[in-house]
Amino acid sequence: MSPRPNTPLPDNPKINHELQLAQFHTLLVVFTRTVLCTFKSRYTQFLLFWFASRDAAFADLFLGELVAHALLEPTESEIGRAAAASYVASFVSRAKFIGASEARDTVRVLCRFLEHDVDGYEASDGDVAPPSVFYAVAQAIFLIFCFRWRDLVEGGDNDDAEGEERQQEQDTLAGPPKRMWMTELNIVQRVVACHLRPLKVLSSFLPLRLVDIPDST
Amino acid sequence: MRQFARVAHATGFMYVFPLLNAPPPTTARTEWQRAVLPGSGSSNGINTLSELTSFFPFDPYKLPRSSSYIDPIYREWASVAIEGNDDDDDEEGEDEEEGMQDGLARPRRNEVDHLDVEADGLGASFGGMSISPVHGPAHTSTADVNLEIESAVI
Repeated sequence: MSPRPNTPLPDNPKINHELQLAQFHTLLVVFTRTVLCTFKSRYTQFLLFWFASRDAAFADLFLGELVAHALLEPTESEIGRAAAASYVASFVSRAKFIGASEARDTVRVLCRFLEHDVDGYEASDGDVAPPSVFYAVAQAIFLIFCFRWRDLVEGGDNDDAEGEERQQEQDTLAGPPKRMWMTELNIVQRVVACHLRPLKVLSSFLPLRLVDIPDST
Repeated sequence: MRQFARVAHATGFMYVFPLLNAPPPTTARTEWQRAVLPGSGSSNGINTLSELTSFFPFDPYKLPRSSSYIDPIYREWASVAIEGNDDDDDEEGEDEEEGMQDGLARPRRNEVDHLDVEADGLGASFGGMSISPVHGPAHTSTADVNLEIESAVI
């Protein structure tokens, strides 16, 4: 359990929960309006990170807001959507309280978004580039894969109920290959190989920084 | 991206190193820059672009007095890293190694050993400190500089 704040809370659990839910909604609004768009905000967002850990409903609200902001709101600025994608990636990667099934659901949605973009790109014979959010979402999947690849599998049996036991079953995960990658990850293979070349583009941003470092080589 | 390439390969997901080293995409980079940054092309635009994609909001929490709230619910890179990625937590790595003997994992030591040196910058960045640049201006940390140089060489 995470440590509790020193502030006393009402004894009634129901009222307590409603109070916290209202507080969380307020925080979420403030976050979306201010923190999300703040370039390289370092710590403020951890208030939501901690708050989300208190209740699965809070985590679900937070993650849902982030995913929606990144994928479902074309009227938002590209930078805002890319930032939201970064939050999705970092949150799913880092939050221990985001279970395996939530991680899979998130990756599933992100993959389908990429698939849609690649479909459009290929249908246009490469004339219509997908929105730049494409690369931010691709990067989100790459990061989540690095942190959560153990959870991104689907075995022959239903493993959704095993979310909380992931830590203990890592040995069995490595057993005979009865488990397979979740099917949506096939999209990643296609995305990586497509002409948009997200791996190359994203990694190419790093040497661009050399522009700032005179005589660094 | 190299970290993804390493993990993807080590877990038998896919082998993408050649794609990292592929010739530059014909149009993708400029499309991306145009879309994100109207009027890109200036060095200022390039800076913004690279920093945007190197921003990870929940990088390790370093505030000493409040970290007790975050630490128990925070997944460290060292706890999930595949053995050999980090040089700062061998014990965690051994646990992973046991789980990597078979199944999803494939023998990869030989294949990726030569990448260890190249990826040290990113390994340190992923694990010990932070993925995003921590020390104020984006490109001043040693790890970042190493990574940039390595990427440029490649």
